[in-house]
Amino acid sequence: MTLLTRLYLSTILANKTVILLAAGLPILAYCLPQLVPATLKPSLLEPARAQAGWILLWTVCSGWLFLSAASTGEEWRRNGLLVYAFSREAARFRRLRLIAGSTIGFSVPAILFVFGTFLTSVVGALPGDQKEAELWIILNLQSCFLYLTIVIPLATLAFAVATRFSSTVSWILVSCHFGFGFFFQGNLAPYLVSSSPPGQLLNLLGPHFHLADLTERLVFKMGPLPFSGFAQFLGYFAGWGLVTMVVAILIFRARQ
Amino acid sequence: MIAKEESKTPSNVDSSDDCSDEFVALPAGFEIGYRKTGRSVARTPETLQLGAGHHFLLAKNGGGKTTLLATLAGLLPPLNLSPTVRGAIHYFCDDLSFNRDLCLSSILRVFLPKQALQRAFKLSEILEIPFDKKYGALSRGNKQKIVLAIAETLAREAEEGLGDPCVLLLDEPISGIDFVAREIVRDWWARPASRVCRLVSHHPDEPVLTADSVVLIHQRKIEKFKSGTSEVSWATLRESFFAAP
Repeated sequence: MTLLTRLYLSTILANKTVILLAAGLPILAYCLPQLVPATLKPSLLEPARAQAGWILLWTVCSGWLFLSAASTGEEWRRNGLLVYAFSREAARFRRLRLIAGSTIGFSVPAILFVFGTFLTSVVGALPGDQKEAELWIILNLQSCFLYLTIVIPLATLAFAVATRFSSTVSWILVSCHFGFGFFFQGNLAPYLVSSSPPGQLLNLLGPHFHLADLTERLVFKMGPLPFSGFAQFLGYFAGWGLVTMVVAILIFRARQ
Repeated sequence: MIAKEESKTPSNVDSSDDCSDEFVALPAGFEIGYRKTGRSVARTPETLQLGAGHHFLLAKNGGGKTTLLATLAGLLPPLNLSPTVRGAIHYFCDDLSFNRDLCLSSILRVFLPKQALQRAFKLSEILEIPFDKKYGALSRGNKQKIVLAIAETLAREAEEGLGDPCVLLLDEPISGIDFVAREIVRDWWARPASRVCRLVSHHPDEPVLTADSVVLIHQRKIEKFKSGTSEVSWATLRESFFAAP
């Protein structure tokens, strides 16, 4: 583990938010569906747990994870920790190595959260039929991979932008970018921009993060994405991730 | 007692400054400053070499101490020629601090290899850093002591061959610590070294600076002063600062 990875993990463990979220996410996903009148149709309770789990996960990602990455970037730049880490690295590919070190750090809570959600969805809503159960697990695994492919590069971007500007600016920018791809392009764009050519172009070039949200398939038990479709989605988001990482490396700044 | 070092060639310098033992070498005409604005802060009129041991870096506020250290650490590109630095660089800037929720043991574990932790805890104990408090609850002096404990552990590990030879660049590390800790740290720095080069920026408040040499940045010139003994008189250095240009 690099210095920055160790430092990030020590910090989030010390302030304990990550432990609270890792424990709270599955508990909330399990309990929230009970608060609605689920007794009217008990068969809906299990898919509702999966839905609650994944929605909470995406919310936590745009809320806590990006904010944590952004505040870490600003804090480390202000505290001189990036300067120290920079001086420790060999001259070649310094920025790349520092960004990689911090990316590994941000991956750990992301993996922890997604694993918790996966377990909630599998343990709390696994269909009784064996064939359906297999498909359910595959669909959840697909969601996990798509989630991580999107969220980790965006967290790194939030970190890098904060090293140059501030954590607030960084969080707003990255959250807007994520929100544009996840909510706007998924729900509103077809109605709002389909009529104007610039809007269509924006919609075409924007990051279609909403494609990674497989909650509907979970709720309506539509089964996993076919392998070719999943590979296409994964490749598309990996491409976006690569672009995001390159931007992060270019924006990253160690000195105050 | 003290003389401006005039030697440029390895043949003229004493054995402790032999070229093969150089940790830091700044060529003649080497300039520090800011490439973006093109502003030059200072330059070396002649070759400047630092061997293993302890070297003070003195200058007025804004004189270029931090700029020189940042340039040696690779954070700032030199304006013209490149410096040579041999060994693992550790640059501890003057405002280096940590997350307020971290405790001393977590900080040491992050910065030091496992085998060095015992030594780091021992040095922290000597400096009387409270183990039970979180970083945010420590006084300014105690916060600085943590950085000193890390740097000293790295130095001793290197000195004993347990780590790579290293160049420690310390930017005003003792400005906030108490007089007892200062004495302890000065004793640490006075230990003979063969695999560690410490360059410490400092605002001296003692009559005699115990160091292998003093690098002075004054009137846009980076020069090295040294003496036959390990002590450099501050009174003599003062003359350089107050002398008419």
